[in-house]
Amino acid sequence: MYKYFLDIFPLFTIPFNVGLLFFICTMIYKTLRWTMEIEDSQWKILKGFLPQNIWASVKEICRESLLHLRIFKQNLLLGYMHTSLAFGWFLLIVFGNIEAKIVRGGLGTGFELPHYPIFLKYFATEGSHSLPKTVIDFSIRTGFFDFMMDLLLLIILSGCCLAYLKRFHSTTFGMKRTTKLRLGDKITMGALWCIFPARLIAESITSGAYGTGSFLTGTLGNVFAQIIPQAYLLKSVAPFWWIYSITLGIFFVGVPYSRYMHILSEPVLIFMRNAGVKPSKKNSDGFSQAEIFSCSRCGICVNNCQLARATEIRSMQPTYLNREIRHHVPLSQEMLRTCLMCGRCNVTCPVKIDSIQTRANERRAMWSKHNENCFAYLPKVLKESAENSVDVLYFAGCMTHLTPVIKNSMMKIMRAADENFQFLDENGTICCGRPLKLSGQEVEAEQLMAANKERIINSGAKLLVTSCPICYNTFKNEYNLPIEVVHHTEYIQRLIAEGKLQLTKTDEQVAYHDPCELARGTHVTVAPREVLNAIAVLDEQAKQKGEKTLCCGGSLGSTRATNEQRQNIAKAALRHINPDKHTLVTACPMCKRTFAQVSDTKVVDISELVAKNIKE
Amino acid sequence: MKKVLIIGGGVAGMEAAGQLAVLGYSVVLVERKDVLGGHVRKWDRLFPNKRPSEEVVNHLLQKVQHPNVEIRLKRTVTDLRRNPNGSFLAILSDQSPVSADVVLFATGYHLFDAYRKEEYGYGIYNNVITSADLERMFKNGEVKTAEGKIPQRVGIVHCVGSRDTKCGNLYCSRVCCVTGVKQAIELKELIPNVEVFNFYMDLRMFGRGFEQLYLEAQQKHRVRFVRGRLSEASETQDHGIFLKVDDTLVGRPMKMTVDMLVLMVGFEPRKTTFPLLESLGIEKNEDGFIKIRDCHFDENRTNVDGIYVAGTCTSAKSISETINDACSAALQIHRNLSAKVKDKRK
Ligand code: SF4
Ligand code: SF4
Ligand code: SF4
Repeated sequence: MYKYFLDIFPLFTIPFNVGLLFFICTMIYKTLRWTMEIEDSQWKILKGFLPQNIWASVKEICRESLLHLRIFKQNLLLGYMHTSLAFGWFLLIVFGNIEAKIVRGGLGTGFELPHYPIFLKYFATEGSHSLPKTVIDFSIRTGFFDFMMDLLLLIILSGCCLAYLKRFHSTTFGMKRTTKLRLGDKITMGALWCIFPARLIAESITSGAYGTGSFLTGTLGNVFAQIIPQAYLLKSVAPFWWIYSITLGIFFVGVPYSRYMHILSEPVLIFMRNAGVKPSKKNSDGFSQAEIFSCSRCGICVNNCQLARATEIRSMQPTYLNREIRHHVPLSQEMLRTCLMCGRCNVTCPVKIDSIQTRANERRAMWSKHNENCFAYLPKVLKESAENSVDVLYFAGCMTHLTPVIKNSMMKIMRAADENFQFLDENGTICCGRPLKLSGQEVEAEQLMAANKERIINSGAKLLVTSCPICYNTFKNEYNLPIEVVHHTEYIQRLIAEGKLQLTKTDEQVAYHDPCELARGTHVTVAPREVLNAIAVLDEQAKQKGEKTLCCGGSLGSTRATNEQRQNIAKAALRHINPDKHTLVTACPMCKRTFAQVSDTKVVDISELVAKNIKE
Repeated sequence: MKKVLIIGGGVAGMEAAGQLAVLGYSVVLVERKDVLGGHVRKWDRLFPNKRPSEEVVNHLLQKVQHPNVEIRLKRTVTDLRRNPNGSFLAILSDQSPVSADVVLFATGYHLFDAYRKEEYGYGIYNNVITSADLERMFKNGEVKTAEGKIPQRVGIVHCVGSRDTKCGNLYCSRVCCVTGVKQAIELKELIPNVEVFNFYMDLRMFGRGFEQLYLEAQQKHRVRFVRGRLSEASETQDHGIFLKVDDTLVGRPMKMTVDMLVLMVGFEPRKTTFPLLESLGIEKNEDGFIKIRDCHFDENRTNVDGIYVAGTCTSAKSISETINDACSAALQIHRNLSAKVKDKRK
């Protein structure tokens, strides 16, 4: 009985089996727990099982969890490293299973114990008496499977080498620095690093002892056989299988305590996302938790964060934020408040984690007390009568009031187009509420928003035009206004298309900067370019544009970045956007102000250029 | 005869040239404009005693009328190199070479570009001008708005582009406070019923005669000094400037309309000299002004041997301070050059 048990469960497989069991239990537990804790609506998860959603999830899991296509897009070498490890290992398991099936005598032999394909070489050599006599037998004898397994092992080992290289010499990957580790990470990473070399040696020794193996393990085995006497070789087979099993076991147990948890979480996250679950405003929410655990700490966000590049701030990026939240470390002010909330990390994150939301949630949670009457005086100061019906409402916003040339240009443009408009905040503006929201003072922001909303609706206008992309994003996405909201770039584009605005095309060369709030926040990238093409010659050299655009550094999102740090960010961005030193055009009063402080060339808002080129 | 190259023919450059010439050095004075004098030429009258700026310029011009001084106008130094023996070779913009034993940078400053403080509306609203623009008006003998009217109410804003982290300038420009007071008095003298408001953070009346000028402005001329920063300026229908100020003494926001707004623009380092400084490895401070060796004992030498500095290229200075600094630079050069001569004799 005991002997029979040992046949199926040789002792050395125990570490592996225990680890795997632990891993699977964790997976089930975490998945259930996150599902229960979804704040949005737990039942939404059922939608994930609709055929089209399942299909989408499977597709995305293959693309991202196995092939890591998004990482490939970011960085070839890094992509190869992830893919070779994940997909290579996956294939190794698949091939191992097929081969195991064949070795065991084809299909229909029933359920295979999980350790069997993993330690196949061991079992295959020990029990080689049961080789089948089918056609597939041929492929085994020709060594097809052995060859494939060796090839895959080689690919994985190359990925491992890259991983070592990245840890000790991250610049090879064009990355500035790789992420810092916790103890759990170190142990699990150490185990992961050892798994495949251990497997290589175990298989090679086995091959050497029994004369099997393909180009890699076979050759290495021959070498071993040459230098080590057969008796010793046979004796050293077991210890190496032990090492292999133990490293696997440690790895599986370590996963939930390390960043490798992402292997387990990411498929769950993808599934939830495809089921239509939306993030909530609390980080304890199941979806947010799945996001936080899905961060692989690949470091891509650190690499794309301008704070990391232009200043030396490298401790508050999403990778660290997710780590601290996950391990319940109290968040420092620096972690919370330095971030510009520019969102570049979000668009470059291969797991598509919405770290802006996560951080905003933490900021909100910081305010234990709110002032309900912060803006109680507003109704008194806003006594002005509701304007008799206008079509268009223009809202300059605080930032535009600090860059008066923009509002003047807009007045000129709207008059030239003969629009029936009202300048809503001509005599003093009420903030759109965004800065307060960004700092987490939701309750106070709501008061401002209510006052603005009332004013806007009372005007009876059908269209609200803003000059500031920050206001634009807020009015459009947070206010639920019954009227259309456009940014002035879109509005000008419309005026041109409708023939209301006649412009002269000049041969002035200009560079355009996509304001992050406009391009990333509200996806307006075509309108400004069309407008510019109508009046000037656009010379676009920036590679990071559209939703990947750089932040000017002036962002209201950060309350801790110093002026010097902001200027460094702006300078670095300028070198990228405007290397040939043309006039720099932006479409955001904040960008304009920030860049104007450090630019050698003139910085103008798009409206200025338009106003200058109106046909008389 | 030992040779000194002086870059910049403003107050510092002229004073140093005059002093060095008398001490027996051959001086080449390079000036990029077609006249000597620098910024001071643009000024009408000077604090603290309302002396016409021409007097200062003429005084300095007399000093440089010396056989030892060779003046090269309308030229800049495009290249400056150190010879193996430690002396310098400069190439001027007309390709002519100038060799010198030591070089004195008297390259001065740049007035802050008020457009960069866009919220005050310079270059956007017709009647927002700078202190330098007002001096030009004084020179022409009349102060009028862009529409040709005589202003009845004028606002003067202190610290524009100075002590302002947003502009990246943390330092105080030293002379604008007293200039603001001086210009307020001059406005009062020129336009009998004009109301003048000075908006300041604090008033730095450190020099001889400054405090008296400040008292005169308050007591005799009834200039209104308002402590607080201008938060917003916008243009009214008839081209007045509508101001929002927080009066931090009374603790109340204040709104008013003025006919004219004058911005007291501060000093900035002269960026056009940066390539030259960098080519020689001359260090700058974080604010961009040239770094001196020691703030107490060695104010006229840079980190590079043989390169001296005088005047406002190292920090904001008044004219009196600039002249003192130039004298001290001349003396420092004299000391070092004559020491070298003695060394050789040994
Ligand atoms: S947040 Fe995204 S980009 Fe950043 S480390 Fe995590 S997975 Fe990578
Ligand atoms: S939002 Fe911007 S500043 Fe903040 S971590 Fe992401 S990339 Fe960096
Ligand atoms: S001198 Fe006065 S006005 Fe000028 S920067 Fe200093 S404090 Fe401001």
